[in-house]
Amino acid sequence: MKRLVAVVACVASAILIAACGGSGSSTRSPSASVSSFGVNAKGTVVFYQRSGTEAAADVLVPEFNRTHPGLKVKLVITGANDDTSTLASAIRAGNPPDLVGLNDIDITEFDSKNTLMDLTKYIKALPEYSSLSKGHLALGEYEGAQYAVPYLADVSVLWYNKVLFNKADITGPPKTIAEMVTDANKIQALKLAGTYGISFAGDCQGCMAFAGLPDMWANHDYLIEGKIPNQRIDIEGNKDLTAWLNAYHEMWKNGDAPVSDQTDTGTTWGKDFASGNVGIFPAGYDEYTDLASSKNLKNYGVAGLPGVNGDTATFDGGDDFVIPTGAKNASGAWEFVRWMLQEKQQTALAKYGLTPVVGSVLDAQFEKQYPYDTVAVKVMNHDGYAPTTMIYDTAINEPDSPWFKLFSSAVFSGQTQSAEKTAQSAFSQLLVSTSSGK
Amino acid sequence: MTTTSAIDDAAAPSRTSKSGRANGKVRRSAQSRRAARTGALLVSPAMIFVLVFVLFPLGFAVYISLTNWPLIGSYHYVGVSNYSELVHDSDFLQSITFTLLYTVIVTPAIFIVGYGLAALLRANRAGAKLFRTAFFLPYVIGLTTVSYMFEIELQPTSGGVDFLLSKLGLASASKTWTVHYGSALLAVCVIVTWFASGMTMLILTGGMQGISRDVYEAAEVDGATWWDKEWRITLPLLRRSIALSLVISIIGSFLAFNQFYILASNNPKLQTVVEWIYSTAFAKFEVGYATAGAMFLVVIVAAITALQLVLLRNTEE
Amino acid sequence: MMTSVATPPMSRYVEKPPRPKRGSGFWAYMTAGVALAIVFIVPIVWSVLRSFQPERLSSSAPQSADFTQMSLTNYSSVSHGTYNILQNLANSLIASIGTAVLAAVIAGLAGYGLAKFKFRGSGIVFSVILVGMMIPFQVILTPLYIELSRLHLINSLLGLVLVYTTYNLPFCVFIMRNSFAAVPNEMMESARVDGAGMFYTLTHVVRPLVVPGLATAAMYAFLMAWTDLLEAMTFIQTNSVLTLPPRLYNITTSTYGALNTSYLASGIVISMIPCVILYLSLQRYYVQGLVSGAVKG
Repeated sequence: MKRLVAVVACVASAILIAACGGSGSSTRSPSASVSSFGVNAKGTVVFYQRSGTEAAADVLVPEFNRTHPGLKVKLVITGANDDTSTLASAIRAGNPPDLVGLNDIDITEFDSKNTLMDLTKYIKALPEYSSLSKGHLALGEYEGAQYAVPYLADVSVLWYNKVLFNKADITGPPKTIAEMVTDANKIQALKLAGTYGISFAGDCQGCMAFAGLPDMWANHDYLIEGKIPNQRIDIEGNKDLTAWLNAYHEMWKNGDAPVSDQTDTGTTWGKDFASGNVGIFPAGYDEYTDLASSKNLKNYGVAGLPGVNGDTATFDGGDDFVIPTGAKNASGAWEFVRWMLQEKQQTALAKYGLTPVVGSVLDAQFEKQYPYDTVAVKVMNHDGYAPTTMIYDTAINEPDSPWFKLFSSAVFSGQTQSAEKTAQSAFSQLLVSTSSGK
Repeated sequence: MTTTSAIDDAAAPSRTSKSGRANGKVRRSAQSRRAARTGALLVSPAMIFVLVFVLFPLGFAVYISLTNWPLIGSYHYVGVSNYSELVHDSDFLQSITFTLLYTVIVTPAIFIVGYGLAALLRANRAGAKLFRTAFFLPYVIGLTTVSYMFEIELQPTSGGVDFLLSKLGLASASKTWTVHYGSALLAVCVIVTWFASGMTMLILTGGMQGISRDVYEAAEVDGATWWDKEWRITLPLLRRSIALSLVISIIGSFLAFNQFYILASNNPKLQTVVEWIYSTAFAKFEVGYATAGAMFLVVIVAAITALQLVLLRNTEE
Repeated sequence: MMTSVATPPMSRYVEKPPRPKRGSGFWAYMTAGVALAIVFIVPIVWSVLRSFQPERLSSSAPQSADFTQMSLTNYSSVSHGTYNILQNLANSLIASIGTAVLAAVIAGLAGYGLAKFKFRGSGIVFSVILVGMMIPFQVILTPLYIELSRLHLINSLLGLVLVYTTYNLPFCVFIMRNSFAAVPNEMMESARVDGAGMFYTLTHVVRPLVVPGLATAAMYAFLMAWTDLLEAMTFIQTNSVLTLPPRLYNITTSTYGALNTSYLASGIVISMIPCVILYLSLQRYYVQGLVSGAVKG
């Protein structure tokens, strides 16, 4: 009997001791030389691609495997909502993937914790280096080193309905925020049944940030100013922000947007525009796939998101390639990266509603084949930006975030001034609590 | 799951200890040692599982809650500062009060509906078996699937709920249920009651079947009304089943996650404690802090279960 | 002409005559029963119909004309291409069947040991298992995650099955202990006297009496594993290893909250099928197991 107890205890302890073993450490600075890294690599490459932007990878990865015998990329699709915790889990378990297409807005969270490989010298050696999207590249920078290289872009643009614009006698897409308001009003004044001047997802803070913040950035007004760890908030009394919030409030008051927009959590974002009932639609470029399949693509046009003064900007969403430290086949991963940045593969991205990150793909043939994506690429190269800050998620994306409160009380209740004041202190508070480290 | 009813005790076979004393001590000793070893061997796999996957993690959790363990990276010991921070954390406190509020609303609802269903089918008339099957069907398909079902039907305009209610003239055809606190909570409570009352019905039915008709008939002869019968006879004799169904319901509500995660995660006022633990650990990467919050939950649930055991021990005459 | 039936003397009536079977009480009961049954079944039936509704209709209000446009597109879109859930369906089956078998076997052994063997510490064993029931998994999720991570059981169906099995053990052990306790000792004694070993006794002599308990335990374990969301979400990360519930969550929410109702609708029906089949075919075990495991100590 006692012996049995001892056996049970031993088995249990053995399992638990294995569980108590610590995870090994790994280096950040790679030792391979530039000329040999990512050249003629062999073996397997485990590649995490998040669902939502996987359409191109589904086709390109098999193509790569076919043309690179001896090297096999294993495509692993991670969930749309938990791709960061998936990566974190794998790192913690001591079993990181070799390559990740990481949502660019999440990179800072990882490179600040010593979990990504320093790729600076390899990136600089790329032939496409000078035409890589600067905004995406900047998102991968931390303390002077580059930890990420752009992979694909998912940018925001202004879609508009050419047919409705013609009917309302408007010559082209709005070039300023003020023009956006007058255009929406004009279309609304047509009083066509079920037709609206503008549509937006008013209960979706991520959507409104993606499609709305560029209107401020067009005038070089970034709301969260400066570099980590010395950032400051410029919301209260911000002229561009106030103009933008007031513009949306005016359109709302004028009935230019459907009533359901106020409670649209993004569930049906873009569906009304794709049915041809909306004049203006600031959103992601990926709305292209819905419009193309509606077979009325020629009714729609695309332009950059306008600022106060006639400049444009776009939100550099998308994915960057990162290689976690401890990856078993970093060289194989880099070989795949180099291939994906070549013109042929980058051009292929356009077919799937994504935008290339290499500006040099813009030649006459590309412009002819993908006129809509051309606009997106141009705006991205010229004015692409995405914020590098630790508080993006908590200040903007999370449910009931300060950004959400700012938008809804200003746009739906008209309380712009007090909303800005509240947001100023809420954002600043988040900066303080994040930098004190938790 | 730890209650005993007097009727069952009477039916149970005599335990070996009672019959063992009559035999010779020597013969029993060698045999009983072998039997004891076999018995211990038989239960050891279960023991190992519980040790490794329940007891060890529990102890480990206490340790983790005293650190600032992040999802990636190294950690250090921080003592009880997690706990002192929790007490001031409005998100955490709000999740606790919300979970309590939800439990208080939904527990009586499930009980009353479940009791009604059980009482309806008590006499086992024609069709009772079919009805019982129907009432229990939602429980069988699981709360996750039920929540997904209603995620579709609670959509404005296209969902079945708005369609039905607007045809009945009770609500607008494009009401957004999950966006506002009040309507979301109401919707979830109704859905969970619909889901769980079948289980309560079964538990109570089991108890009700143990009450023989004679007791009722004796009371009827004495002129008892329907209400008298329920209050004086059924409820006291059902005490154990009632307690069981209530405890299962209460603990289940405290640990609610699926339905809120699926139906209401974009409304932070509707966040339950388990949702808070999950998002703190895996979205904010603060595993140590989340575990400290989980310790609160351990204490509460263990207290409720212990209370159930004590209360039911007392009623065992 | 009047029928004349001799009225029996009053002494014939020794007790109250039985209530007429189909009085008003019966119709009230029937109405309530049918109405309630409708309330409980209609949403499920509606969901099944919804799964045959093609996507473009699913964003507008339901109309009777929809019935003429039913199709299987939702099912084909979840079995091909990017939103293929067939692998996840297989994963769910593997995890649930694995859990059911493992839980039934281990609980069976433990139940047998507790019911039929007297040994020192059986009380402790019982208490330990009791503690197992007082500690729900939601609260030890985080340490369990780290523990499984160090054992390299994250993102593995095996890890998930081990966790699920442990979760089901307390209830299943109770069921099996009662099952074995109901087996008369004389039956086992006579088998032993006849020379049967323990294994033979278990599989041939005792089996018919404990099979209901085993079926119940296995069924409960299967259903728990099949419908679980939180543990599957936490311990499994990549799409190819996920079970159905978390995979459905992933394919129906994209980055900006858009909802693909059509994939969800067919996923729901697929998820329902094993549950309903198991329930309808093993109904008596379900209820009986609940009553015996729950009501008996």
